[in-house]
Amino acid sequence: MIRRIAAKFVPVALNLYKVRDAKDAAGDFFRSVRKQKDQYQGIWIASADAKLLAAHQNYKSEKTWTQEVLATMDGALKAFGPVAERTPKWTDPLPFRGHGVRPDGGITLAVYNRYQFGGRIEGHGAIDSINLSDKEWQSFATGPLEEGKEWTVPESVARQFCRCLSPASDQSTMPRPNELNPAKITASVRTVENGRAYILFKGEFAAIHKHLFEAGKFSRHEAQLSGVGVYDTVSKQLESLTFIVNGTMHSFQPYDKDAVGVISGVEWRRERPAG
Amino acid sequence: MINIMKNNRQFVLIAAIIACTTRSLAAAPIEVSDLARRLDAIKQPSQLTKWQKIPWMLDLNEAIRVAKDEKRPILIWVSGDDPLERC
Repeated sequence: MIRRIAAKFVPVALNLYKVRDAKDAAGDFFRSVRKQKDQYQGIWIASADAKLLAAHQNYKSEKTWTQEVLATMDGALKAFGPVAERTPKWTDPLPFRGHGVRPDGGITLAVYNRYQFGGRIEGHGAIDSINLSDKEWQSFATGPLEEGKEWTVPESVARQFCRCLSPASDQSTMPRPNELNPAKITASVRTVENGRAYILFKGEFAAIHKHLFEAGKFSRHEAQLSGVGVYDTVSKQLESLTFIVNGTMHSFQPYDKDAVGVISGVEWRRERPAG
Repeated sequence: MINIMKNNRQFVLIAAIIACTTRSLAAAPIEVSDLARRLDAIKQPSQLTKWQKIPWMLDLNEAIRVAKDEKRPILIWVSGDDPLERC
């Protein structure tokens, strides 16, 4: 499927909330296509003059999902007519996710969210990113770093870990930054040896997230964070950050009886991994 | 004599490398390896993230331009967030 999408189509990934309200030609194009097949999200295939060729949202079963998408693509190609194959060069659309420093001085933490049942990690979960500004991520290593030094990471930074409190792949059950109480991350320098300072992080989060469309319904979340930062005391810069956020959530009523385990891994490395 | 000196130099070099490595490992607190191990267990298996290898564009205006130039359809994937950011 990946090869076929790359070879035959121009694939574009968009945020519904941004594109549907966009005041430019792209917004007009999307609204026109969506009018021809009204679905909340999913896949629309259209010609460059905004003629809908095919669309897909709801799958019949997980087992047949791939075939359903392939059939949607085949239908679109049939409606469009002959298309020359191509071999586009892949470029990373998120080149700073999980590593490196962005040109604006900020960093992007890579987030991996999963369900956890009885200590076992299960399900697809969600991948996500936390974008931090230059000033925000520097708060993970405020120098000079000496053994035993302690500080609190700004609450505005801690609140951005709201993305670790739900494993759903959309934002329906994801608490928003202002719904966290508490949102606390503390840091302490464990050791400084051989040109490296090891910073340990502890954190605590709780949130009540209001349902976006149904008044009086809310999901509840709580989690603890543990993490390590490695700081190069010679170059005076952070080399890596690793966090684990472990907790539970209760979904919206009436599915709120049992707590669901949620575990997230968060990472950033200054150096891009090989390969 | 020259051989003995050469062997000694090699021994000192190897000993120094071992000492440095040992010091470096000893300096890292147990939390570093423990968290790295837990992170690896949480990360989605690579077969679940194959879709990231699709040459996604993020700008619909640019995608329309390419589609016109290359005479091919646009496959628009939309979700209630930036799809490549949270998925």
